[in-house]
Amino acid sequence: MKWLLYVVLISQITGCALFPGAKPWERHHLAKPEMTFGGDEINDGFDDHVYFSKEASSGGRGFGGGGCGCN
Amino acid sequence: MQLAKKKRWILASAVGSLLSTQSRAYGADWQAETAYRYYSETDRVTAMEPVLKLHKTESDGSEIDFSIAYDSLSGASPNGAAVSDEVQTFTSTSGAGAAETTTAASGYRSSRDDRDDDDDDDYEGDDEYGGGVREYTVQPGEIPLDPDFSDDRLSISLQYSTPATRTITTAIGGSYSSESDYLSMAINGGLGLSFNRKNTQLGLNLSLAHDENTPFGGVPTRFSKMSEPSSSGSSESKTIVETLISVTQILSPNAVVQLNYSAGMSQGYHTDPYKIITLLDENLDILDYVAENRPDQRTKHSVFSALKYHAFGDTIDLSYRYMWDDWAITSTTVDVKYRLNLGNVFIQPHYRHYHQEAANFYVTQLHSTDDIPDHASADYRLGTLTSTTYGVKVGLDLGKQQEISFRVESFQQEGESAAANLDAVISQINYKVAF
Repeated sequence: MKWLLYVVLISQITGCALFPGAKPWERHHLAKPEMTFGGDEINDGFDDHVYFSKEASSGGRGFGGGGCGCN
Repeated sequence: MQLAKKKRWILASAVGSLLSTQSRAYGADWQAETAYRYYSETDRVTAMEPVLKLHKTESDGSEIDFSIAYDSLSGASPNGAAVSDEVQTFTSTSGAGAAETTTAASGYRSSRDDRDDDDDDDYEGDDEYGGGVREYTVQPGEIPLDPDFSDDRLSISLQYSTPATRTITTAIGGSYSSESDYLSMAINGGLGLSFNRKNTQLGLNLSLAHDENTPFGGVPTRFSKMSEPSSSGSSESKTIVETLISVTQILSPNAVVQLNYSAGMSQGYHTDPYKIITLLDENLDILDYVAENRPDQRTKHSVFSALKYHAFGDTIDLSYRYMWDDWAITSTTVDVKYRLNLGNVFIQPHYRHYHQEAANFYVTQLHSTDDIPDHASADYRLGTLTSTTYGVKVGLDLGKQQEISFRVESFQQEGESAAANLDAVISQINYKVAF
């Protein structure tokens, strides 16, 4: 039954479309800041800085190189 | 018009701009966002960080982002030495043995004030040398913390992106960060290609950074003893090259997914000049403390995937990252946010879980009876480590394109070293306006 759950979940996310996508006039939800990658840059920047200085990993969604002497 | 106003909120960095497939509003409008964060660790470091970000969208679709941030921190920080059942006395002269910088703003200064966040540490000092000579003691069973360090950091970044054609966007940017003992400069560039009726976007980005480390008291000679401090120079540097390849795919009117691969290589000085390692004799008694030494090269890879899904009027944000490097560090990160929209108010719980495996040169102490290794560090951040963050953000739409939000989070760490056990609280206030 687990496969059925996956099928339902994926079909919900993709809108049951064979080819995923959205028409330009269907993108009003996608235009919201919270649906945009990089739409909450200050928060992401704060978090990246804390975790960069406290963990051995960085980056992923953006560049994670140098920038400070905290690690 | 309401839709156009909402679109104006879209803020993205150069990388973010290129990675996004979503619509964005054109029109010569400004957006400003300011935030203030207070970060506080129990018995350790406290940091305050105000930031201001300005964003402008030109009528031709070009976007400019400018941000400036200032960090100020102080408190006590682990020096790398192991916990002992004896009283431990540390002397900081050439940089070896001094405290390190472990939070958002970083760097160490041998400041002469009398801050002491840990009652178990005693501070004595004089200024014989340029970097200052300090002495402090740590009681048996206590985590060795350098009780007194502080620093300030100023960082500035500027990003510019512009559409070259209907389907190609280019971006360029730079950043500058300055601390009392650390300087970093970086430039980046990128290309965004849209296809499949702008349902798919490919992003190609490159960054080059150069960091200059000028420790107080000089750069400690690798594995030099605290009892016989020596310096190999006044500064060291490293260069970092990173590339980021990204695919963003709109799945439906309610879902968008992103898959990133990034690779970075850094060459130069990776050692923390303020970290030390306990050196034990044949009886396992403390013989001395030595300066750590890390490899002069590191190559990192990471795969990052994220899904944003709009359902029931709310937004679900999921992401996963796997990172690996040639220091044998591997890590996994899971991040979940659920934004509950209630009219003009939103409530967004947040959960993050992180786990890493240790670097192959991580040690808790060294033994005088063993050969000196090529590389060794007792920095708990290079050991096996688990971090957990949970909290909530609450936002209020004030109307007239203004929004205010508050965030409170708990950040906890635990690992194989006692120094890894950390509790911190993050609180933050944001205000943004478009005009």
